[in-house]
Amino acid sequence: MTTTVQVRGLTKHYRGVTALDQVSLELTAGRVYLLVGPNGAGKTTLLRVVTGLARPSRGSVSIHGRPFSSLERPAQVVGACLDPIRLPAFRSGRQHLACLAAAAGPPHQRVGEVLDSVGLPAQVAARRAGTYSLGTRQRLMLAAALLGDPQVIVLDEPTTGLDVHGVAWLRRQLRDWAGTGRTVLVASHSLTELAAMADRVLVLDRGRLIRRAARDGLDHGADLQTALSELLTAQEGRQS
Amino acid sequence: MTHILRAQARIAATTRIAVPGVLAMAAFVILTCLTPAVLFGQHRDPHTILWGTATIAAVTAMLLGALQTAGDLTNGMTRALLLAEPRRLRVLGAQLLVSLGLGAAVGAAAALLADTTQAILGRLALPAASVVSICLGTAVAAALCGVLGAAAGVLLRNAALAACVIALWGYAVEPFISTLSHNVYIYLPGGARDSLVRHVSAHHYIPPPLAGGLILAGFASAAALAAALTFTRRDVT
Repeated sequence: MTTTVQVRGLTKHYRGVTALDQVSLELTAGRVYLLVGPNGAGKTTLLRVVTGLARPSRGSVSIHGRPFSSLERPAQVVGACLDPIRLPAFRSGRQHLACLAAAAGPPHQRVGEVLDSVGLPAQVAARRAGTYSLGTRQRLMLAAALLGDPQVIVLDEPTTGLDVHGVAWLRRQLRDWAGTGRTVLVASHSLTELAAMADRVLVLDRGRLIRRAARDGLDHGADLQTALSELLTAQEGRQS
Repeated sequence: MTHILRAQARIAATTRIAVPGVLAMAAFVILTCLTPAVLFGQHRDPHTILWGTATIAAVTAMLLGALQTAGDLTNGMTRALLLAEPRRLRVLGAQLLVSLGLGAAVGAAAALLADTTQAILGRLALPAASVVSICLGTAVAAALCGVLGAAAGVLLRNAALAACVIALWGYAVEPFISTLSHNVYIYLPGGARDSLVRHVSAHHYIPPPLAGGLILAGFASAAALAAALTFTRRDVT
């Protein structure tokens, strides 16, 4: 299988706090990776460093063998959906996507396609984003991530605010994306909603990648929530 | 680079502050032209009124630039843009270029509006060459102030703070410095702007327009460099 994302010895310090500590991992095409861990484990930081928004203190991230910022057409390689709370309130959803499409390069009609694909009706997309519910914002951010039809899809808590139909759609999409050879990295607290769709589970705790395993290898038939809880408790015991 | 430039132009055109900001500037320019003539019957030197217009245009361009960049950093637009185009210098360069263009347009519009209003009032008693050079100077000053403002927005990362700093600097700090020492003031952005619009003073020396333009360009370049160093090193939240 082709390695798409390679993370080597990634360390990130924030004013004396170590958010990531020597994290190394490889993600391959055609798989869904579920990144789990307790609050403050470093999940969002890892995604932000992978997408170039945060600078690593040490270590490196490469996508298709190159840093994200040196890719020829970055939006066609990586699409990310992070933090749907913050969105320019004055522009309509369609205007927001049109601005991003102008930057990313795909033709303008792609805006309509991604709006359709995430289930955002045209009349909703024409309204100011400031009036959107959290679920609608989440759909808009997902649409933005898909603008370039990327090979690597990075999602942070993508089920936040989504209704049951939205979650069901996302579950189907995760498998569809992986089925078409894309790499999907999802950070989520909602283990019950997305765990069944994951091929591999990556467990972060206090900035360290403490476990990476096939989903079945981690839960041994039990539910993932219990398995994860036991793993983290055992880790705490080892550290204390 | 053209992709990101187009995106930034689209973002600037759909920013909350763009249209109200330009309309407010137009209202201030008209008030500046009309107030002395209509309300008080004073005959003001047309040059002074055009200089006032240049100040309004420059402050407007600075505010638009600062509110745009600081606003985009806080409302998530810059982050969304960096996910589509991670080369930060390109993103910042496009922001600064758009602010430069927007500033030039704001300056030209303000100068034309002031000239037209003055002409209608029959008070544009200046040679055509002077009117043209003042218009050009206003556009150049506003363009460079647009870059200064955009860079300030990146450095301060807070739209309200950036607006306060710009207003305070333009309307309190620089005028105060000019009363203390005109020789220092002429080397500040406000003094350089005065040189660009040939705001001639009988009592004080002002550098020629080219020198004023170079001083202002120096400030804009230094601010852009500081913004670039900060923007490329800092994490984007």
